[in-house]
Amino acid sequence: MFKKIFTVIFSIALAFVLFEFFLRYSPFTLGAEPIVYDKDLGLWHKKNFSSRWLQGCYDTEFFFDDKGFVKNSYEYQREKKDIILLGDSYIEALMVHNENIIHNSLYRLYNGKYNFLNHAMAATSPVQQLVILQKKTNLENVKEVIHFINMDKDIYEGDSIGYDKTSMNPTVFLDFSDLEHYKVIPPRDKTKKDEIKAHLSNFEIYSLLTRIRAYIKNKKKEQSKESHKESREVEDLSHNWLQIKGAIYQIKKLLNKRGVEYKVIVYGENKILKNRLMQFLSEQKIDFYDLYKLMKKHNLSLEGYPCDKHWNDKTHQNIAKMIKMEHII
Amino acid sequence: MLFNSYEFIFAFLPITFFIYFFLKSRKQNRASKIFLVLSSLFFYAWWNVLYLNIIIASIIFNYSIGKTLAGYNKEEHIVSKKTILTIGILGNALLLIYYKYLDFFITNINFVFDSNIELMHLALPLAISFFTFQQIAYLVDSYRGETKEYDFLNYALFVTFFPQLIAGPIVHHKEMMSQFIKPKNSSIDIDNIMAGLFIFSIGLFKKVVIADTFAIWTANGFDHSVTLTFAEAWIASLSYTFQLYFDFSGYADMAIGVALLFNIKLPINFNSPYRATSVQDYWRRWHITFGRFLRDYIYIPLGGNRKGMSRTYINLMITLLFAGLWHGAGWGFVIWGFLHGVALIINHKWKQLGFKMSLVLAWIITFFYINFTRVFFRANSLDDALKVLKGMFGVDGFSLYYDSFTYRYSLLYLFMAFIIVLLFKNSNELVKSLKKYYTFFITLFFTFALLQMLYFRIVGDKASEFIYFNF
Repeated sequence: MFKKIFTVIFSIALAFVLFEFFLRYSPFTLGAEPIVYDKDLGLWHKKNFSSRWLQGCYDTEFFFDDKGFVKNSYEYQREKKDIILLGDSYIEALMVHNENIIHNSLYRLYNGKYNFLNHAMAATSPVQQLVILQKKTNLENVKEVIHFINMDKDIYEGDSIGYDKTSMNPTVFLDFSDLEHYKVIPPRDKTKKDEIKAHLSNFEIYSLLTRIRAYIKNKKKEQSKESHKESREVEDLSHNWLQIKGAIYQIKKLLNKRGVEYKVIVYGENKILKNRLMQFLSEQKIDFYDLYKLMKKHNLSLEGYPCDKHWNDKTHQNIAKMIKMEHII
Repeated sequence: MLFNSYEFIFAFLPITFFIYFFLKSRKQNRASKIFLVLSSLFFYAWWNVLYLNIIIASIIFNYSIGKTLAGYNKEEHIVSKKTILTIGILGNALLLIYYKYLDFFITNINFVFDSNIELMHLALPLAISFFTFQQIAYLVDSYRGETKEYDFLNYALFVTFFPQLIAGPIVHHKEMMSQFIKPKNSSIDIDNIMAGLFIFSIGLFKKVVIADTFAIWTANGFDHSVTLTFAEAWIASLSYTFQLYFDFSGYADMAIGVALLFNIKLPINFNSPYRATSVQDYWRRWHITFGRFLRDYIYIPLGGNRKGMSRTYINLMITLLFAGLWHGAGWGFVIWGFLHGVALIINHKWKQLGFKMSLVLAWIITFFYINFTRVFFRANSLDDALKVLKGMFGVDGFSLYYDSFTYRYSLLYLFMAFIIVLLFKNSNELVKSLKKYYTFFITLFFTFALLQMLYFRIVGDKASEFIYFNF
């Protein structure tokens, strides 16, 4: 009996080990986690890193440069001015072939006139994006920053209220008392758990397990989507709004000081939130654009992947075209 | 319901197994059979409940014809026995033509006469080719007086028994019905359970780990590329050759394994086909039960090799063209059948003339010819087939370049697949030789395959279908 139990345990363990090798050396490679603990932001892209991004409807290879930014498909040239793109996972776009991501598409459309740099990062809001500008971006040679704001998500991701330090990933927040004043809430310290996670993240099976967790979470989310929507309508978002507005105001201030132009492109399904943001941008005299309206105006499609709604290669190229047609730069 | 789905492995199979043997233990033989038929219909309906009426109507129709044929008495019937058989076969053929071939005919009529007849766009009922041909065989045997089973429940169980319902093996009523009534098959048999789980786990591993890996490179080459380099075309075609084998033989293993849990032995369907040293040898090893059907119900009734050489060749060609069309309504399948027919004719002639060839050279020619014909079998259109063939024959150059991201690790896996099919024992042999290590291998293969199924669920949100479900 013991021999049988031992055999079963041993073969299960062996199957896990072999499966790890299989994932590493097969087209099913999930790749190691692309992020690492960062004392300023909480999490940041791994430097000089490349891996695979795979879902049912896409399969791409992504690349980060020596600073952890999404890599350019062209050679950076010092004598040319930089155009920075800020945003979340829609702009970071690990699911889009590197050469087609907006910054690389723009580089081609402008025949290499500027260095287009992608400083976006997934799961960030304007609050964390301000910190990226402050801590990661070199603004010396920058002509313009184009900031993509996703109003379906950013309003909820920029506020530290509701953030659970113990269970959630380390993230920096800013606590605005008004547009001018804020207090930095640094990411929690790196814990033993984070260190273990960092080690484990080198294993494919760990990537699979994290995806399983995310999958279950998403399924649960989908189930409660309707009730969630209703509850959101009655949510008090005044504190969230202050964080978003404060972050945008501070970005404008920082860029004005450096003589850098600042443009905002707003998108998202929620018209109420979008209109409210555009009203604020108008009050602040910040140039802004409604992405959906402009894409419609130029008859350009805005398609997302069926499995997670992120924009596909064609849409990235189309947005780049729209930016050129509208002379946003 | 797919064998490689959680619903099947963790719900349907154990529930069916326990209730079936519970009823058997209570000596409720009829109830256990009724339960198995209903479970099998549920298994079938899981895919699309709307087509349940087709299979039920088909069973009732064929049973009635079969019974009439078996109990045929010249004095009692106005029509001849042959006419009844013809009606039976025509009924089945019409069902197949309507669901499987009608759009193909319309497309060709539109092409030839430049007409614009609208296509029907009917969804192909799952397993229609399998259960229709199984029943045609039954009718022919009834006509020949070779059937003994006239009980409707037994007949329904013979057709619907879920392990073989969707993609075979194409079973013969003689080899099935006797097993259901054997008293020793009424109770749980641990040896059969272990052997069944062992074969099932091998099949599951073959399907979700090996076949689905090759499926990626196959799809990249056949479906997602506009042009292919020499190396890419070979990777794509070889990938499909191995994908099809591991997919279909994996399914057959799972079917055999599941049936064994119920103490039913299904005939083997594969015997290391890629070790074949001639196309004739290949047909004795690949989809064996289908080959048997072709021989017994097409080739021999046409006259087989009894009517001279030229008739033999014609009969071979007709049989293989039929085999091509059986797989699907498309010119690619017809060409595939034709190419196999040509190869079999050459094979016969070669033997007749007494020529000899070294086994290695014979294997190389056979394997690569089969790989070549598979291109027509897999391609969605003749243009796609030509795209792959152009690459394989170096029409666009003999570049060894291949997209290292799209086809990464493909060469390693192709190499390993050659090793497995040529040097390793096949599932039928492993069942006998690894008896001592069943527990170890069942757990190993199951865990590995379940992890990969989990992967597919997370990444693609579904289990992948078997290729032969489309035929």
